[in-house]
Amino acid sequence: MANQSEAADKGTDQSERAPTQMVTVKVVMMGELKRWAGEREVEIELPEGSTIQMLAEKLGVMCGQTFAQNALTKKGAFQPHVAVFIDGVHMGELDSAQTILRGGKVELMLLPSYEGG
Amino acid sequence: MVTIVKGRDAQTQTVYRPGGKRHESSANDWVPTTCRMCLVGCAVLVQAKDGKVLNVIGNPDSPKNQGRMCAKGKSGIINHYNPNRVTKPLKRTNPEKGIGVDPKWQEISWEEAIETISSKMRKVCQEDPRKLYLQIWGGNEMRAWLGALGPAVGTPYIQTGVSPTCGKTIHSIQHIIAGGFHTEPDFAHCNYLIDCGTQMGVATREAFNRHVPECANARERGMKLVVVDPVGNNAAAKSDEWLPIRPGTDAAFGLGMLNVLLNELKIYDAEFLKHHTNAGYLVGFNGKFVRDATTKKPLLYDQSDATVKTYDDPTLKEPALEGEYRFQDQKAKPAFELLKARAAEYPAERVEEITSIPAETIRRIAREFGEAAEIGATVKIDGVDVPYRPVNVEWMRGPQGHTHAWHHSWALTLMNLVMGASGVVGSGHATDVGHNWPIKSWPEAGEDGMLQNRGSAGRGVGNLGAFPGRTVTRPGRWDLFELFPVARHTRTLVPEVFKEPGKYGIDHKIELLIHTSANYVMGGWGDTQAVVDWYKSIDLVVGFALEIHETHELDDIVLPMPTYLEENAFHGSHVDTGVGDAVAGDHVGFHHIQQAALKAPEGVRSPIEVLMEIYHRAGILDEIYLVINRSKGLKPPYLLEAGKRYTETEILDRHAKSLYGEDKGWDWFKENGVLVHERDAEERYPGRFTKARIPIYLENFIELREELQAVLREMELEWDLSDYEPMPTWRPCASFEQLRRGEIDAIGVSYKLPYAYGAHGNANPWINELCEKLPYSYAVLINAKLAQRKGIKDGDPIWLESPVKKVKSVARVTECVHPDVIGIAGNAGHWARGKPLSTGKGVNFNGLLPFDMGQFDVISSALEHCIPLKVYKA
Repeated sequence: MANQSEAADKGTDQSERAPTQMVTVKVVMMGELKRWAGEREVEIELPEGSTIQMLAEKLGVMCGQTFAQNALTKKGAFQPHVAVFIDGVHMGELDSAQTILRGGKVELMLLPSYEGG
Repeated sequence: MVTIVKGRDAQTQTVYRPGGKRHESSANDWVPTTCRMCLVGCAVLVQAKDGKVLNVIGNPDSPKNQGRMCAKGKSGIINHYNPNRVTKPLKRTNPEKGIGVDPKWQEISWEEAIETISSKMRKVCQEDPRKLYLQIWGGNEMRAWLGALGPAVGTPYIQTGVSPTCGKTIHSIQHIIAGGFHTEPDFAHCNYLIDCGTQMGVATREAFNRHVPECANARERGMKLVVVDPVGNNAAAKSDEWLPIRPGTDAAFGLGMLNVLLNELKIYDAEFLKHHTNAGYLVGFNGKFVRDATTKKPLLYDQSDATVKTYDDPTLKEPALEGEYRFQDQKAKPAFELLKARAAEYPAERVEEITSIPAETIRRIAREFGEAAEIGATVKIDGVDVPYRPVNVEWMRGPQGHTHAWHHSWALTLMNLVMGASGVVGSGHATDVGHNWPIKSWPEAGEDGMLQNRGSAGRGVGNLGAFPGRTVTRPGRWDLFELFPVARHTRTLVPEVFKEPGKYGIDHKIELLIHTSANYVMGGWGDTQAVVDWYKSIDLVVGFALEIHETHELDDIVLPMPTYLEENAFHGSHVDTGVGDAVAGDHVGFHHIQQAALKAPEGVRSPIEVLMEIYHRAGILDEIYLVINRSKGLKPPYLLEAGKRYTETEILDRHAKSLYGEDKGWDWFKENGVLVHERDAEERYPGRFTKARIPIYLENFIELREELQAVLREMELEWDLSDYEPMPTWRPCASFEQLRRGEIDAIGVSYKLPYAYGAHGNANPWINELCEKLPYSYAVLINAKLAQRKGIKDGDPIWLESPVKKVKSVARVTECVHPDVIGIAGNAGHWARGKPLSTGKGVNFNGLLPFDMGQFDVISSALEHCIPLKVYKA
């Protein structure tokens, strides 16, 4: 995983080109996601107006190949079975992948997939 | 009596309560709760006095079953007086495990049981959570609290079901075509229903007790019911027409019907296909979509201005469904053109040879179905125009139980899709799709404009669909999940991989298995010995038990649990969706609970409180709380807080208030039992309100096949991946060819009885009595022609010999089974000491199933359920 200072540096470079406000998001990865990412929690700075989709793309770069292969689609979105909660609310109750992040906490979980009897 | 429910957009709602006699009849004697005698979870009223249950009746307050019950449910009373009930924790003292081996149980204290389990759990969580395996089937809170271990500590092994077929394709397919989970017809408006390998509306399925009268009413007003099944089962008995089909040929039947509809009659819903599916996406020479060079979005040919456009181009008006177009230096055809060509490979005469259904019957049924679809018709629902397509093909267990399960299921699904008959008035519906209240949840488009996400409704049921599919990697799991990129679950593979774990690179051992009271050993896989060998390898097997069935005979520790009449759960009805209860079509929404009508015997504790104590001692309770908070949709101030302890009822109260508000806590539900709310037109008929396209062409399967080929090559494994193609095709299962070559006498298939459930139902004395009196329950069905050929008479004892097991049964000679088939009812044939009433009665169908890698569908991992049988007089 790229360290946080690298991530912050990228953000700084971007903000030098355009005076963009940044938001800090704490990402909590539960269960297998933690094993794939190598860490349970990570803080990420994103340009203001960033969405869950942009967070997924950033995590795909930061958290390594195993995380990306298992948690993301090939186009960089969260797989449908990754449950994304934004400050405790499922993203499906908000604007899903287009939900704009305003800081706070994002939790990622793999909830059991029900099979049938 | 009418109860008023508030809370939805601050409007007042009226509870649906057609009966309303409960409170007048006998004061507080009747307790509203939920039946758990099968998966459905009907709402019931229980009359109890002095700690004894006197009666159980259907609760008329609940739309789930509308006051009706079945024989299984009524027999729940006598279950409560089971003389073989476990009421104390037990420890195995015999280290030897096996079929028929006495565990030599010893009673132990709860303290010893909990400390033993929590010590092991702490160890495996610290070392490698993948050493933990959970089997959590059951419609109660235990499922949620055991299932929470997956996301909390990181084990991937959460086996939520039992059956090796159930849910293998239906849930994945419902996800991608509707954003749903299960299916049911819109009986109120359906005019033509075809049941393929299922007894929908007559004897089985979710909401069975509601479906039965709905189906009967529909038939009375003229709905035609056609049953396509090898067995002349209960559904066939009620049908207008039974088509005995050779097992494992559903895909051919579906493709034959498609050929008549698309190529001979040219009946299909062109508007739906153009604007709501990928039927117009142009397909190039390699089978993949032709894409825009810059955006990489799929392209369609717009006939209105003879140009090629992306699927989301706002000027797109008339996408072509047929023809051939030259673009980017290649020829391309719309996906629908290719589907027509595929269907053309299945003329009715060829389909007759495969399925044994006469060609003229196939043509007639297809014509009737197509004409009944009334393509182009709309009706107004709450002032909104909704398409009217009163036809439906229902499929379930039959098509799923094959090595080519995906293709059987997909071919039948396409019959509905080409008619535009999905999620609209009169058609089939996915359950649990659109919700505006109490939690917003709608399916959403993802890549290529296709339906990809189910929304928040899936939080409690998972969201594994077949699009776009997961990246294929070398496996690390016992179930080889990584090699099945569109499968919903692959747990059925575990005992097979156990035979040669090194071959697949499995580097960890299962050390702790905890299971609910479902009978996994008898019903979860095939070849029982292979299953038992795997269980024997696990250090500590723990089971919550009512009685000692075949799976518990392999346990190391048994924990007693309450019966469903002694147990509480916030979600009464089937699957805990985190939203409400699963409904579809023209029905009101509802939520009913399960509450204890009787006190559990001394020594029996709440499983949730037991699990919380185990998790506390293992040091993982706070992580479990976080998962429970999210999966159940708990909200401030009702969140479970780290470091605190709660009783079961405190948690149920927090769940209720989070979803329905401060005034609808656990006590309100205990008193009222059922909450009912209206649903908007778009919630009832979400088909055309869902802003996503659904597939008729599975382009992603091509890339997934390429990925799989590369990984399997690295692993030096040779799997036939030809099933990974975008359109359905029919391929024979092994028994089809064996029968054709004369190597076997018949194909064994199972069918469900409406009065026995799963691998434990017939141990109930009343169910057993039914099974003994109804002559087909414990015997097997053999067609008169086959019986004559084998010299077998009605009532003769016979041997059924499969490649893995030989069992004795009794022949029932009948015309109500396909001539190539032996029909086996349910899943009986018990051997456990704790089920003496049912020992040796009937046939354990699963135990006859061959179990090796060649028996699995490479797409869904469904286990082949056609048993090659030799049949002869005993």
